[in-house]
Amino acid sequence: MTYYLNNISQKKGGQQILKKVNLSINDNSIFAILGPSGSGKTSLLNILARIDHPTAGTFTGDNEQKPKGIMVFQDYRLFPHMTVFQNIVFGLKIKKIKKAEIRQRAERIMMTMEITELAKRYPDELSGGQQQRVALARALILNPSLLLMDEPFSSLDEGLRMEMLDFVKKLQQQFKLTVIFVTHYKTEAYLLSNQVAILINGQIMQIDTPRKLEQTPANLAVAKFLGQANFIQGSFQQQQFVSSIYTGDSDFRGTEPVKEAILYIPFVGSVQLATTAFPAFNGEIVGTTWIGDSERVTIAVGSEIIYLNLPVDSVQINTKKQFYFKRLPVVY
Amino acid sequence: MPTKRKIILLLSPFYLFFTLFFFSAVLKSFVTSLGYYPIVGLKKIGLQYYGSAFHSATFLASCERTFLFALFSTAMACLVGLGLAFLFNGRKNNFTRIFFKIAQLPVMLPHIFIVLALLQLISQTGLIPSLLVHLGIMASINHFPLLVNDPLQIGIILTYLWKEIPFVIVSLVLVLRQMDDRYKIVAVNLGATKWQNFWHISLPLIQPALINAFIINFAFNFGSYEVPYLLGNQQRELLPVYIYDLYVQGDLTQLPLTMSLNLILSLFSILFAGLLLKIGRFLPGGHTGGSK
Repeated sequence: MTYYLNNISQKKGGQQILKKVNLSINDNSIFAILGPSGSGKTSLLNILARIDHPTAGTFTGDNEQKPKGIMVFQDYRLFPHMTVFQNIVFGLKIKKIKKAEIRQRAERIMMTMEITELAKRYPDELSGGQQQRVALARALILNPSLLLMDEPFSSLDEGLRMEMLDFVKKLQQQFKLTVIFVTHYKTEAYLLSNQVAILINGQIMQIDTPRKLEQTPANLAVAKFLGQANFIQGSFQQQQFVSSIYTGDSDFRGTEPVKEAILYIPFVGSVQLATTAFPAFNGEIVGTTWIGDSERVTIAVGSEIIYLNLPVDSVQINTKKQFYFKRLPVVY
Repeated sequence: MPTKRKIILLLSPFYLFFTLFFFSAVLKSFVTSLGYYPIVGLKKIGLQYYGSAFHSATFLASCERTFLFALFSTAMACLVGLGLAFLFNGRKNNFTRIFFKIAQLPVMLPHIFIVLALLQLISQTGLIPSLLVHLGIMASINHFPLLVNDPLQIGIILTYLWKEIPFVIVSLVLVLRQMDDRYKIVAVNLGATKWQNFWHISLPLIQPALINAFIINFAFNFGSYEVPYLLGNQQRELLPVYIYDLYVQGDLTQLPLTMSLNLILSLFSILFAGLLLKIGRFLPGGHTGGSK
């Protein structure tokens, strides 16, 4: 079933939280909503979970007029007075499902989530990762067609986060779920989903693949939110970008020609040493920092400092190098 | 962080006071209850006074009456207080805010004030019967039901409810305010109705506070002397009045019996509180560790 968010707006206390959000989310997929804190991500999920109502707009599905997503909360919110087993079966118990069936389904889901041995423990006796598995089990036992996850990995440490990312991917395929999750970590969004929506100030700014988001953000707000980029001040005159480090053609994304423009140079994948048809700038290498699979290189171009992630040992400190854009640079 | 020695030193005045006054009083009462009261020549130590207490039909009847009465008053206070606490917490408007503030007032007032106020209001010579007669609703003040010193102890129950319902409200509203709506939202998302939310989530989460309020109110109702003395029915004496009457009779040879009754009353109160706490542990909400 495809889900549709049609012109969803929400206003609370005189403040516009969501502004005409339009999305269509495919069946059996993971859809990420990425945005900074306070952008309206959780408000949007609350509407999809029918915890809250929009002031305008509708949330519909192909086969269902009023679909409802089951939510896994950021802080898990396991009922503190219930054991793991009681937490998991809560949704079935209140639906007055037969005890034998409840037990059977609980055992199956606990086995899938690898938490069978935790059944009698209370939430305060669990680690963060275990709590998340229980919260997932509590939602999945209801066989939801739409699973909502609010910042699901933000409380986990790095190692566990990667493990849970893979685990959620596996679950999505196993249960043929449609998963909508919101996060402010772009890596999480990119690792989990091929379709990422950027939500800033209650508005969907862009829906794209991770690669396209990084290479060509729809506007400066998206580019700044995605971060990990250099923003060079300049001007846009006679179809050319003019600045202290680069003057030339550009992929201008502004709505109209403006005097003040900004050149967007992401740290990754925008500039290289190999020659292309788009010469960028000549700069002196003033620093390198090892960051795992690449090096963060600091380049002085006149009075400007540029940061780029380049292959390890591709440049030496105190040498001058000519850099090239991989493609026409984006200017806002 | 203070050292263990520093903590002991800081707490020592309290322990000293507690040991001197509380334990010495309990010890003296216990020794007397065993029959050792040399001032009147009683030196034979044994459990004879406890035995005679448990063989006294008057004492046992009074004990049962007091227990049932305290249990009923406490249960009523907790039940009404629980309902009002949820009402105050669920509907936050100017009316409930003002009402909540007013509801806190009786907690601060002494019992004697409420007793005297009730006497002024609902005794047959009180304000309400006079008003009803004056308005022609009632022919005579004798037609007004006996609510003070009555066989059903309605006067005492009213006094306790007046004071204890607000106590329960204040205790529970504070917990409800801290609890916020996070768990309720989860339950709603998982499909719970309002009633299921109350029964499975809110009630268990405030259960420890409710049990505590129950114990405090029960202990007071079970051992309270002045309210039953002023508003109770003499034919249906409650245990603390019975014990005090025995004490003030002036027969010193009866003192060991009085002390044994006193200790039975206290011990029962403590054991019942312990039992309630134990039951509370096994009820939903008994384990709330990790509640954020």
